[in-house]
Amino acid sequence: MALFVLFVALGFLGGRWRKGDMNTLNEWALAGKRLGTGLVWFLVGADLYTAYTFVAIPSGVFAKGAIYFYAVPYVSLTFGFAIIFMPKLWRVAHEKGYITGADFVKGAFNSRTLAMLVAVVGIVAELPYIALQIVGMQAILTVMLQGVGDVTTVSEVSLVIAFIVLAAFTYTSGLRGATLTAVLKDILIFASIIAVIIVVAFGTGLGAGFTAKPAYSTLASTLQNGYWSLFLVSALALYLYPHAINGVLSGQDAEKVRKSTALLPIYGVGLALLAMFGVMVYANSAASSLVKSLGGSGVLVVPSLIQSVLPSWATGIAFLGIFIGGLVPAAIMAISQANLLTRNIIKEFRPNLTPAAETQISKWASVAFKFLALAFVFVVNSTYAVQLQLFGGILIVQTLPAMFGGLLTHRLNKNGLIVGLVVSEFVGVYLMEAANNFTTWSTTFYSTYGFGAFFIGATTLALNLAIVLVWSAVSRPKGPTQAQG
Amino acid sequence: MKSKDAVAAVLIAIPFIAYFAIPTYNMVNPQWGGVPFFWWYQTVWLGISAVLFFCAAVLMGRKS
Repeated sequence: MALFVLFVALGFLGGRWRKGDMNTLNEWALAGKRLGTGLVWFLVGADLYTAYTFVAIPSGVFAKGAIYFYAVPYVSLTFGFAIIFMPKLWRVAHEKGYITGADFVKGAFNSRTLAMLVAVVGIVAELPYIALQIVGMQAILTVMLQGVGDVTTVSEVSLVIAFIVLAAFTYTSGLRGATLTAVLKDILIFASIIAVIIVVAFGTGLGAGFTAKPAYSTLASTLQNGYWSLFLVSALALYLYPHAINGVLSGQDAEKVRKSTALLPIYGVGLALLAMFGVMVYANSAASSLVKSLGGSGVLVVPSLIQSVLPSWATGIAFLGIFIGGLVPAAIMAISQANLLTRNIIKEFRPNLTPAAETQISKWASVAFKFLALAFVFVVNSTYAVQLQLFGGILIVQTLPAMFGGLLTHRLNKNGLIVGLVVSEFVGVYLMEAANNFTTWSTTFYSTYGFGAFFIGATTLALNLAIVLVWSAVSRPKGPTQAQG
Repeated sequence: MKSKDAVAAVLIAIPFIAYFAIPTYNMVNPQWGGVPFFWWYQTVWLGISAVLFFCAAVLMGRKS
């Protein structure tokens, strides 16, 4: 608890670190573009060590087994895509003064409509991702506060606390505060994972979970298409998220961004180990019964295992790290949403906004968006919290033709891109609902007739690309209407 | 300059090939400390990916 207070202080002090005028949006949201290589590494890494890593993936593994290990190839391959595309984006953005992905789309295709759509998709797609962070913080608090009251009360109180801390943190700190705390939390989390692994390895042995749950040892052959479509689309999607683009653009130069990105798969080793926690828990009776007593939700797997395995002081440190691991990314995501709203939507209608008013709107919007994110907490069964992030992925990956396409070529037709984006978003939402029979979300696979189960994001991205390519090919003879960059 | 890009492209492609070849690692044995091959093999590839990507990044950065 003392550490917790220390961190919050650090976070708020971060606002004063390396002086800048916090009343301009550029400062609040991009930390004045003055972050160096090491800090960018941690900042983008912070997007990885989120509730996705220590809540969503372990709980997915806990419930379904090997299929959710897709996160490991995803984490590797996403950086392969990133080192190709992101330095390009950084150069264009630096040259033309862009600070969001939608800025880039507007410039590349000379289309305000497309840029606004990309901004709206970015904002909406971040919501379930933020919701996932809230679920993660709630899980930590639930295990921490167990015994204070009955299970339902504890879980509700936890949700409220998580939400308030998040809203206050984002409003006051901006990206500077977030970076400083990102470094701290990653050290705490790494140390905790290693501690748990060592204790488990010398206790029951790392493989005991697989002995208790042999079906989780490998991937069912019917899930292979699901596996690669999940990791491929997730890998493509990560760097389309506004917060990831924000992270890249806050780097000091393109080559530093490229090198620090290339090393990020190492960060994924911790993710892989945490995913295995979802299996290990089956061999640890104390942790299993703790999960059961708190309602049986998979999101509690990691905190329960930590609490059962480590001494209480170490558990406190680990919980702090994980809580921040939800808080910081959620703040970074909310900041990038607010950026999109003011720059790419409100400014289109009210171009005369003063910088101070712009920042004010951004800050309040970031708080408002968190309430919308909260709504997503209730549409998902918490054991399947990973569906939140996957749904965000289904939405955001549809901006791929405009973003990566725009970096590669100017020959794509803007109307084709608009139609492709809108159609694939609607189809994506429909398939998501249909796959879950219009009830609480627990899957993102939809069986394409005759081809078996694929990740919905893959199906809709294919549809989107088909529309864009056919449209662009058909409309070319009429002349280059979209050539100016 | 062109050949450097080609080499970089190959380096980046290697982890993709490794991870897409699911049948080559979707098995229990050989285990490592009781952990099935499927789980540890993909984890090890994270380290290999980082090395390959870093070499590719250095190559791509050395243009002009």
